[in-house]
Amino acid sequence: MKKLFFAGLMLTCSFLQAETFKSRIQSIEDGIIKFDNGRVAFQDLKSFNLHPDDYIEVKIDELSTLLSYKKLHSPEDTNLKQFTLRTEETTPPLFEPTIVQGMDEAWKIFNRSNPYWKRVSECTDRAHVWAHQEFKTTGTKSRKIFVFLTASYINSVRFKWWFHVAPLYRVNDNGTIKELVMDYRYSDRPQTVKEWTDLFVYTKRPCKVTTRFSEYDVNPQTENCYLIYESMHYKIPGEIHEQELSGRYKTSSSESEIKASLRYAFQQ
Amino acid sequence: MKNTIPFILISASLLMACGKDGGSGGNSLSNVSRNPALEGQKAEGSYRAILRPLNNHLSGFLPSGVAEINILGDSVQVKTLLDDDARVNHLQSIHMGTVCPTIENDLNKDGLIDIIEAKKASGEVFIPLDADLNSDAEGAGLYPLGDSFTYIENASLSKLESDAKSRTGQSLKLAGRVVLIHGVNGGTIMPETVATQGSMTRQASVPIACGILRKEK
Repeated sequence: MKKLFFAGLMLTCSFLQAETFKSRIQSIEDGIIKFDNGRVAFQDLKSFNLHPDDYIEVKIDELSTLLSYKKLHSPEDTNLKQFTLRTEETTPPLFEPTIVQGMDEAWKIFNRSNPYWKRVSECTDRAHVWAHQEFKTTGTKSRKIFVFLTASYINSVRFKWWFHVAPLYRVNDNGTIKELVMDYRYSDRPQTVKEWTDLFVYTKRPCKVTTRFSEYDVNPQTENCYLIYESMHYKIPGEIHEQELSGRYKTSSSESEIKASLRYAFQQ
Repeated sequence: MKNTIPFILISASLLMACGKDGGSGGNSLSNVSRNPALEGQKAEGSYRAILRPLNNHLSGFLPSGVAEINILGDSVQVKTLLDDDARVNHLQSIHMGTVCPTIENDLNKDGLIDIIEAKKASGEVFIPLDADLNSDAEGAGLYPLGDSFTYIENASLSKLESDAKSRTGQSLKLAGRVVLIHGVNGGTIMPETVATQGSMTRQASVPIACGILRKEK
């Protein structure tokens, strides 16, 4: 009987083939819809009336092909998430990340990462919480590293995300300064930037470093991916883009913003 | 009953092979059994493993999940959650070893860690996480299906211990053990150098996520 139940459960699951999520559309290009939550959907948009900034409930199949969508009113908390940029300075602020002294300390930081994320959570919130909880605990200032995957790369491997972000620490390893990514969900150790990008970039091509989101946004064909380094205060790609457009910089993260990320991404 | 759901069966003979086969994993088996950290400790408490991606370039996704085991009295509950993009049956097991395979374990250098290479790193199967934890035979071959599955099974600690002991000769020490989950979409192209086991396809047997159980409380 128990087997029948188990088998029945699995059979039931087999019919639940579509994945549904809600997110704002960040951009649409080359048949790829990019969402704020980092996911992508593949679709010939000729018959679809969708635009950047639309907030939709989307249903995709296992290949991330758009099956259907429903436009929604953007909820208040989503609005809050989109406008976290505190445009406080108009000249590039000096942000000096802490030099972590030694690999032992780096491992301690890594192992202090909150491991109780929600199953459905966004890398932006996880990275923000990890970076700020470490800062609150030890005063260590980190940066964020954003990897942006180009449309041509996404199409070539049917990759299901268009960007990813994680905290980045500067570590003094016996006199050598290393930059190590601490992406606790997807790696069991601190990684070099190249090791980290290799998780997403199967061609193993190095990602081009840029400071301008537009370079990624308007030039998708020549590279597989771009990297942008920002201070720990930047949470979402929209903030980087906004910085470029407005010429103003994010120099702090509010307590409410960090608490919101904690609430969105982690079990309480 | 198994005949009524053949498409969700993974050969029971595979599990038998896992249990008996010092063969491919013979070296790691003997290494594991000499590991004093895995001997003579009680298994009571809560254990958790973060499951991180392996061979993730086989799909455009990073599989990730969690395995949780709670033991209270004679009651054991095993819960695994995995999010990936392959709607297939996911073979999953606790292994006897204490390390997840890495690309260093890709012995034939084909760019993938196959099931045989994974077992050389992580040891043979200690407990198959199938449809019936109370029995080696009854639930063997029934594994969770889905590209985003939640598996919850309960068992008797004494039964689990006795099965594990008879199969592996080891006591039920969970902390430090490896959890491995397998399976990508059937159409995934991979080289013929990728080894498999029993009647499983390469796609069904290739490992996709791994974690190490840590004692929580």
